[in-house]
Formats: sequence, structure tokens, C-alpha cells
Amino acid sequence: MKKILFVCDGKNFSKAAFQFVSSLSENEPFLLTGAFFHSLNYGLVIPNTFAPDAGPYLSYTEEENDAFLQGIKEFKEYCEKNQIEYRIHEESDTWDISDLVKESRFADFMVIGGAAFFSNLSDSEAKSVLQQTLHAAECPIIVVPDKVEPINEIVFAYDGKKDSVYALKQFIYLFPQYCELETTIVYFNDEADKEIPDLEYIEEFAARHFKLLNFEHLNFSKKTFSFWINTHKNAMVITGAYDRPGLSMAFKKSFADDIINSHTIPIFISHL
Amino acid sequence: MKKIVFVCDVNNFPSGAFKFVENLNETEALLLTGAFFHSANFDVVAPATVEFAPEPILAFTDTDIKAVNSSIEKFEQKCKQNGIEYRVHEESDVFKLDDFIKETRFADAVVMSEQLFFSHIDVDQPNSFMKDVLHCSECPLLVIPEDYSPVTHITIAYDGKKEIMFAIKQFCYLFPQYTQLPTDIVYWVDKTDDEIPDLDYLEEFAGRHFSNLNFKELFFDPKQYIADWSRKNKNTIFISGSYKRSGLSSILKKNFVEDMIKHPSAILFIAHNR
Repeated sequence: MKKILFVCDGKNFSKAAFQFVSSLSENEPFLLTGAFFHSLNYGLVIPNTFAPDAGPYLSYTEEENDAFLQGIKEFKEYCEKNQIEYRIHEESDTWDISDLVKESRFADFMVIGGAAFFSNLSDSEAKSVLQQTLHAAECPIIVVPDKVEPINEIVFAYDGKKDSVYALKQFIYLFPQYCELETTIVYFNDEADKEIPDLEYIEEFAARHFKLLNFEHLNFSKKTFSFWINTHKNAMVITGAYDRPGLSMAFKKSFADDIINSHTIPIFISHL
Repeated sequence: MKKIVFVCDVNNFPSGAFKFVENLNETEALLLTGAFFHSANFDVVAPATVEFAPEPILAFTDTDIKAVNSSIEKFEQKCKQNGIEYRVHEESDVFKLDDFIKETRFADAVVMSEQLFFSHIDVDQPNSFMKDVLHCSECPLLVIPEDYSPVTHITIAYDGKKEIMFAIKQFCYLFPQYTQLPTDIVYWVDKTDDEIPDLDYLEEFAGRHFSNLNFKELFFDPKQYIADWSRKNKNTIFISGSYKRSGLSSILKKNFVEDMIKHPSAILFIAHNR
């Protein structure tokens, strides 16, 4: 039995993310912890230079609280309807990133609706909050798009580095049911003559866990990305992004961001 | 099916560790990779200041090659006898730490001896060879005493930090068969008013993974009583979170792990996330 963290902001309950979680309960019962980001957490969403003003703050608070309570209500109703054991993060009115860190430390993985998460903010602010969340988490994260299609393919973005293999291991341990699906190990590299790193090793390891395994070596650019992603609409992508900085990490992060921003397929992110 | 790296040096075949692997293979078929550290790997065994002298080194190499072959033969025979699928690290005559790191990147766990690793060079464990291996592994390690007997109990050294939670998670994912055993989560305290950190969170998480769980606060200095504790917990897997080089907390944990190795009795499960 696993413990899953369901993360959303109070204003934007993600039905798609819930639908994804709910599909997992068919395989194994779990405890679902609803962790609701409250926009009143000024440290996170309001720039430091914002001048305090009592009037707007108070009306913002009331509106925010209503939306927040509605989000929790919706979460509870969905859990009860789908017979999922649940818990709500208790200190929700002061919830901030350090609470998320603690929740994620004691959870197997977390699920976020990528499109809905802080969608009332500007694009750049919403992305920033999501990136902070992805970076701070101490467990793997699945970012779910607006519309969830049944998953029938696994794509692993491999680069030979320890971060990507670590992500693959975590995926295998958490989702053995997906290891039965067709799985493609993709090595993105612009140099066509560059070989897939440690191919024998990754073949040997992956073949012990996945039944239907393929390898692809792809040149990667923004143009080819949209074409590539359209051919994998029912896939879940595994990547080791959002760890420490570095060129390899910057690429993986940008790759992960592109998938999240495409709002097309779910992505499993795990970092050391 | 899991892939396990069986690590040893060519002079000291770890029978306890192999017995442990035999037991694992009874519950789930494994691929066992024999990774044999070769003493002729000068990077590991010769100090940087050693003066190069061809003759003694060549003689050393000859002896060593015989040991490599005999050790690998023993490993292969035992694998065949026990129906364990195996592979021997191919470049064993130049096997070094970098190779080990790569093997662990593509493996689920490492198994090694608590007493024997390079004990013909330094008997005082953990010697520098064992420390390197513990530090560099990119997957969890199981350090097995030579008088291994089947596991009946799990003990977790909990301190509320992310490292131990990481280790607990890896243990649960890799060895679900052991999560049915009686499990103690132990928090060592200095003062009587110390509380187990984030107990609610821990109970909620651990309660979902372990079916026979107890929480214990122990009021003693673990380092002082480690030999006694270790002797009384012979059939136990002891889960520890860290063998990193930096940070006060990890130094304390590292020393704690080292003290456990000095008094070999329980099996150590070590997982670190860097």
C-alpha cells in the first residue's frame, strides 16, 4: 500500500490529476493526502516589492478562502465517490513550500495537474511555482496534463547519467504494473554518430524489469519535439530532471518543461 | 527480476553474502553480477607515493591472476549449484572503482561481506577499500556478516532526516518480502524530553509499508552500547540512511555505521541519495 500526495492550489482543483490517481487505485489501495497550496502564502506568489495595503488583502483573503474550501470539498467528494482513503493537510491556511518538502519526504510520490496548478496566475508565475515544487520535492512527481488518456506506452529519456537511471529505478519500483507495457528507451543527441552510452548495461538492467523493450536514438530540437510528442500521445515519459544545475541537467529540465508545457502527456520526474 | 552486484576482492570469497543471495533467489529470480576487485588495481591498493618497481609488481600480478581465476571459478560453481543466473564483470583483471560505480548505477542492490573485503591488506574494518565502496555506490548496499543466518527482524535507525526516509523507501521497494517481519523504528535520544521527530508523518508512511511495526525511543549512546546491541540483534537487517562525506549529521551517521561494521552481527542496509 502506498502513500500518494495530491498537490494543487486551492483555486484550481485538477480533475485530470484526480482521474489519473483514481485509475491507480484499481491496482492497489493507497492513502491519498490532499496538499492544497494557499495563494495567501505571500512568500511564494507575491513579489517582495509588493506594497502592503489592508483593503485589497482582506477581500483577496475572503475570495481565496472560499475557493480554497471549495477545492477541499471537491477533493473529499471525489475521494469518497471513488472509495479512496484520504487525508487533508491540516495546516492548509499557512501551507508553504517547506510543508510540501515534509509531505513529500513521507510519501511515495506526488501527483500535480500541470495545467491547472496556479492557472489563475500569469504563465511565468505559475511555471515558477511549479518549478519550485518540482525542485523541492523529496519524492518522485507525476505531472498530469489537462486530459488523461489511458497509458499504453512508457518512454524513458536516457542519457547514461546516474540521475536518469535513478529515475528509471524509482519508476520501476513504484509502478511495476506499467513495466508490462511497451517501453522505449530514448537517447536524445544531435550527433548521429554518437552511441547510446553504456548500452549493454542499460539493456541488461532494463530487460530485467521491462517485458517489451525498444531503443531509439533521436536528434532533438524544438521542431522535432512537437512531432515526436504527437506520436506518443498515450505515453508516460520518465526523466531524471530538476536536480542540481549543469548542462546535462539544463537539457533534461528544458525537455521536462517542454513536455509539461505541451499539456499532452504525463511525465514522471525523479531527482536525487 | 532484480540485478544484484556481488562485490568482493579476489582473495576473500564472502560465503555469508553468498548465502544471503541464495535466500533472496528463493523468493525471486535474480541476475547476480560478480564484481571482483583485483589487487593489481594499483589505483586502489598502492599509495600514490609508492615508487614504481617492475619486478615486485609483476610477481604480485601473477599471484593475483591465480586468485582471480580461482575466485571466479568458485563464484560460477556456486551460482550453477544454486540455479542463480550470473555474469562476471568481464574486465576483472583491471577492475577498479569507476567500474564498480558503473555496475551499481545499473543494478538494484550491492551485496558484500562485513568482514572480508580486502581483509588480507587491512583487517580493521571498515578499511579504506570498504569505505570507498560504501561511499561510491549508486545503489543501496547490503553488508552481510560471515556467520549470516536468515533474517527475522528489521530495525530502522530513524532521525527524521530525509536521508533515512530515502533509505526506508528504497528498502521497502526492493525487499517487500521483509516488510512483513517485526520491525522496530528506533530513535536514539540524549535527553528524556526528546520526541521522535514528525512521528505522525512517520507512522502514516511506515504503517502503509510495514505490517508489524513498533516505535522505540532508546535512551543511550548507541556508540557506547553498539557491540552489545549488535550481538543481541544477529538476525536483523539494520537500515541506515547515510554514508556521505559531508555534514555533521552524516558524519555522526557514518561513524555509527562504522561502529556497526566493527561489531559484525546484524546485516546493514545502507542507501544514500547522492
